[in-house]
Amino acid sequence: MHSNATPAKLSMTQVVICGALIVTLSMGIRHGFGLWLQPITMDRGWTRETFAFAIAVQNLMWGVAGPFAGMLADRFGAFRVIVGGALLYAAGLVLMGLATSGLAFTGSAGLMLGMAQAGTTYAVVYGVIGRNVAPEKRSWAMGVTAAAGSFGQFLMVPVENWLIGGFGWQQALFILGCLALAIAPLGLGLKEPKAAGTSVGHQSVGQAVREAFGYPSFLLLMAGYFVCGFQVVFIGVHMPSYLKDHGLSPEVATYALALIGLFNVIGTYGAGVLGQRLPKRYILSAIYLLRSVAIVVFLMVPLSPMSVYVFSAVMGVLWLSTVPPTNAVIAQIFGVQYLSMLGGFVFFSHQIGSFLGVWLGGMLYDTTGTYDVVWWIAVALGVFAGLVNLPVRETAIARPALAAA
Amino acid sequence: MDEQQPVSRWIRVAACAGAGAALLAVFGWYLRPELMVSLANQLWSCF
Repeated sequence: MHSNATPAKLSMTQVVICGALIVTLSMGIRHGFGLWLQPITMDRGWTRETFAFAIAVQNLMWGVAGPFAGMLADRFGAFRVIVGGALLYAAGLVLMGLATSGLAFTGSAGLMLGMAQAGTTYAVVYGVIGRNVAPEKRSWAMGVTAAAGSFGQFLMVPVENWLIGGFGWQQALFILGCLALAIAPLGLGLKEPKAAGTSVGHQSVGQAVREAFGYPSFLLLMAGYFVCGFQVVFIGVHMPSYLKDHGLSPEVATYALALIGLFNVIGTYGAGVLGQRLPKRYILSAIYLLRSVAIVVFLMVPLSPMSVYVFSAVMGVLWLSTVPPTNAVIAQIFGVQYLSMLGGFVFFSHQIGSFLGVWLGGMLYDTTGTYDVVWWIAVALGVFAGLVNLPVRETAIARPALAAA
Repeated sequence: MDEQQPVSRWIRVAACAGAGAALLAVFGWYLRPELMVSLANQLWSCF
């Protein structure tokens, strides 16, 4: 493996703990933004479209900025990117609270927070894990970090709800801004000595990008991650509406949210552990195919609170469990020098899928009056992703030109 | 490099127990009526 050529420099415990805490905060803070919809739109007199547009921009910016944040992290060190991301996160949250126009809200909650998330989430942290954790423990370490991000999402919804209730929506954003600043000192734990992070210099950025995009397995992984984004965000955003349409009580949707959060933590950790024992392409393929099976069963059985809970638990296990194996495969194939950047590109594909999942869900619902078409698109995409992950080659790519140089 | 050192079984058990307790505590928080009603209203008001 390429990674064997790079000596590990940081303690695995330090990298995993600091990386996990960073992702817990970063993923957690963003996960509860929906709770601000009502208070902000009511207080500022905006439409929901203003709020929704800013959040959509945030998701796209998170994806667009991902490869650049990763490139900077691979080149100049993850620590600097994480500190920059933390400052941007805090500033974005404060300005989100102070914004009095839709444009300012889109700039802060959309652009600034999207870029901040790109600098403080999986791709940047996984680069450090890849360079500092031995290959035989790497998938596990990525699983722990992803599970921590899932736990952050699970934890922060009630925390943010409590903050809004106790301090008001604006003060709650300022408090979250202070919390986001805690990401910066945690970044110290991921500060790599130069030899580990930046000066290995086997390839240029351009060579690495050309190599990845010319390698079929990378494109297949991107295709799979696109489907992941489509399915997860479609279900996350539109399932409450689906349940409401079918006459279920709002408490059922809240239980479903809690079950997805709970089982998501277990699933992401489990995927990381399994990645140490099984070929990751089989794990990814199984995750996508099982999602399709779960959706088909959910649509076929009579809808009831129990069917929603079982579906939520199963989808929770499969929710972010694609994250550790996808990134671990990239490290296996391309090595760890540009792991953050390549992870950023794959995540960009995920965010395009997310955007389409939300948009198509709404558009086809408005056109057809039901979610049936989108559910079946999600099933078909799951089968597609399950199949395209099977031929992924997990072995390290051969680089004859570089070896001869 | 500490990854070469085996982690004690008791540390693993304690870590698993701690993680499980944290998960159940947060899950229990979701089930409290005031949060349940608040979240449910938020979810339903979006549609």
